[in-house]
Amino acid sequence: MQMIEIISLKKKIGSREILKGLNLSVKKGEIVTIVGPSGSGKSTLLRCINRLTEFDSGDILINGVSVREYNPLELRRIVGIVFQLPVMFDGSVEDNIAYGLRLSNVGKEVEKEKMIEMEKEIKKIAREVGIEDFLSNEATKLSIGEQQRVALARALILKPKVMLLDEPTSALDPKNEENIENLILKLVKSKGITVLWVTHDVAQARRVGDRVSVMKEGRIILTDIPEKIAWEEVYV
Amino acid sequence: MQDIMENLVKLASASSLVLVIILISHLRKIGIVKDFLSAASRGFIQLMLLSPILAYVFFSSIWFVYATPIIAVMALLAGYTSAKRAEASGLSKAILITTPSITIGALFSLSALTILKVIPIKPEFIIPLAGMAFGNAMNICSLTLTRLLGEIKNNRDKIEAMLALGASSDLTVKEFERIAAKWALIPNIDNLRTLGLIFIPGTMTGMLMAGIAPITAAVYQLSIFFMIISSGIITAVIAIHFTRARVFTPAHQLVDI
Repeated sequence: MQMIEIISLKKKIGSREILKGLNLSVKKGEIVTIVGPSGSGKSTLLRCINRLTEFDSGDILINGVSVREYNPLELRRIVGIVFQLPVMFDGSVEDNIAYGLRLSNVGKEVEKEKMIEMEKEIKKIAREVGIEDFLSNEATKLSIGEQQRVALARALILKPKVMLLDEPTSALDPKNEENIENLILKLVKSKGITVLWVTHDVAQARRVGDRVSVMKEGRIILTDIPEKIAWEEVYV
Repeated sequence: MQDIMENLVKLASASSLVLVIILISHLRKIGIVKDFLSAASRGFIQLMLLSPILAYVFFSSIWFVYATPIIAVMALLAGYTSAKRAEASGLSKAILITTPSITIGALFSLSALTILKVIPIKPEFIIPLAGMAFGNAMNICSLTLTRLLGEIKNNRDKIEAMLALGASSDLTVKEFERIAAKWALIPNIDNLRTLGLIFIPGTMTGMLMAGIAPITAAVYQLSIFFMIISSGIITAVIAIHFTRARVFTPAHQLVDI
């Protein structure tokens, strides 16, 4: 069962063709890493999948349904994304984690039971990502590593089927990079989430990917399990 | 003829202040002489052309026939001027937003004052007040859009992070829209707060100089302030609404501005 199917995807920004008929399939629960040089279109690809950016032609299917057929707001809850640099919203860590959960209650009075349920979920995910002691802290004052954990919790609490990771560890120091990488792997595997993980770090792509796709000039030129890739021939 | 001569002498005397401006700008190297002289010449020519037109319209029995194109020109010029500011901040074809926003805002408040009989339906009231309503709505429109577009540009990552969690485009910019509208209206609200304490504004000053009773002048002045602020807030809200529809696609995607 394919969770993500990308078919002949094309995207131009201005006169520059960023994606040139890209094809890729990702099985349910699989982690596929995408490596490629800067400007090869990796981030644009992820933004097209959750429709933060509109693509020009081709299609993207999530669970067999075109992303254009989903309500975009609903799609983004099913397809979570974590960016390279976490952006914290004003308020506490708890407010940040609860942001997506509370969206469906904007302007409504929330029942007590629902509130208690939400609080439980927030505490559970905070514990899972290791920020349970910071829940009342101001999110913008956390270190970048802690902020990335908040960003991860904020996306995971919505119980996404797919996670798009846009170089989530590249802004971190080596120790934090290792910690966050292991944390992501543990969480997505335990929750059975399908992952597309963009990285410029070849070693990381080999380490975390069930399969690795190599992207060059707007196309996937190769996809295979890490052991079968002739890494010395891959320019990244 | 004697009146004209008298007025020209007064204008020439007042122009002595122009020398003060030029002198200070030159000595302190402020660099506004060229801009100031160009603006002053334009202002002089515009007012000299307007005066005889107004004199003719005010005494015409079919003044509303003349007032309509005058107000239409005000609306177009205000929309064009404000659009130039918004376009400099990255909003293309901004005139399609500024002109209707300013026109609706200004005409609504002006109509309300006439319907409520606060101001008489006479050209000497309608035309200058329309100028005030359009002029202020134009400033508020420019300030609102410049600030709003700046906030959106500076907070692009934050807006996209919210969108990525399933927030609607309306929700992601709500805070910035509130900031922009408030920022644009604050100068007028501050003026209202200090009315009579720090300054006596133009309308009231003019009426007092013309010998009108201070209480009557005060009532007109307050009415005008309410007109200015109400037209401003309507303009700001409409401009914000149209701008939101331009900076986001129907799929809640933030476009490049």
